Amino acid sequence: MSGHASAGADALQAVLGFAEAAFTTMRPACGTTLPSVVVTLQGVIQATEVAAQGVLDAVDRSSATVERLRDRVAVLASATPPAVPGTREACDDVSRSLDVLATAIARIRDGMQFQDLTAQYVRATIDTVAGLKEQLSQVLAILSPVADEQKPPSRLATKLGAPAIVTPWRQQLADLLMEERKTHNAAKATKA
Amino acid sequence: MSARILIVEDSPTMRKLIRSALEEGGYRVAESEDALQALAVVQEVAPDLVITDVNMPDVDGISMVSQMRTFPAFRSVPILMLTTESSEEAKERGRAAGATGWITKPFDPAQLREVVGEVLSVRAPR
Repeated sequence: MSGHASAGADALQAVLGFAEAAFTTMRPACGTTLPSVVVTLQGVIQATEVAAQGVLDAVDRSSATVERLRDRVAVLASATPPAVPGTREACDDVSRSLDVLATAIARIRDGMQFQDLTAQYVRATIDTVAGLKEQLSQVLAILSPVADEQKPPSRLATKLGAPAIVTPWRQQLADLLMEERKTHNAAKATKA
Repeated sequence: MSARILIVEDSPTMRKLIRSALEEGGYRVAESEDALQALAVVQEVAPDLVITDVNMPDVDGISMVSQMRTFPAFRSVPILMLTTESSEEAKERGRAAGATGWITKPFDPAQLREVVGEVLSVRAPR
């Protein structure tokens, strides 16, 4: 009978140890790490959004400049006497270069769609992390009574010269000392 | 007079890109940054066509289409979904809600203008 009781006590101790270890690991992850990941990823989305807007503004200005240059080249081509050597070739060359620029600018504009596409993937990741945090919170809520039971009150632990790492045997020792003090005080009161 | 198109899209980058593509085709463009705003202004804007994203905060694009179809004036206005969603299940939900067509991102501006032109040319008279 006592063997069974001992085995049960060992098993319970193991479960308590596991719960405490899990609690110690998960609490900072749930309270700090995962929220920090969410904030960081949201910041990434905002930063890329701002950058994309800046690129698109520059694209708009570049497109307008290309169009203005086309008009100017047309004016120059019509105003220059045909007798001036190389003028027509130069104007054609400038027009072709402007076509190349316009195509490149259009590709940059289209490429900016990937800001939104990547942002959607990042948002899905944020949702997953937030869901994970929620699930961990629920697990912590279940474990916390068990894990908290293992913690000594910090003021008493300090008085007793507890180590930085809280250990269950310290709490047992504290309880024992407190019990002894109570008994001692009670005996003194009786004598008095 | 050129057709008026309402863009419903939560990403400022995408709104700007879609606007740019449509204005290049000579269309007039109005914007809403989410479905709730679109539902609030759509009757006032009176668009000839709506282009909407699917994944948006609060109310998604498919739910917005369902609600828009309950407005008598918008039973036959074409609504195009422009989204990264490409699953058949999502497309079927879109069709059931009353969407006219489905375009997957990233989009080609010329193709978008082509689809918009086709849809507007066959739309039922209001």
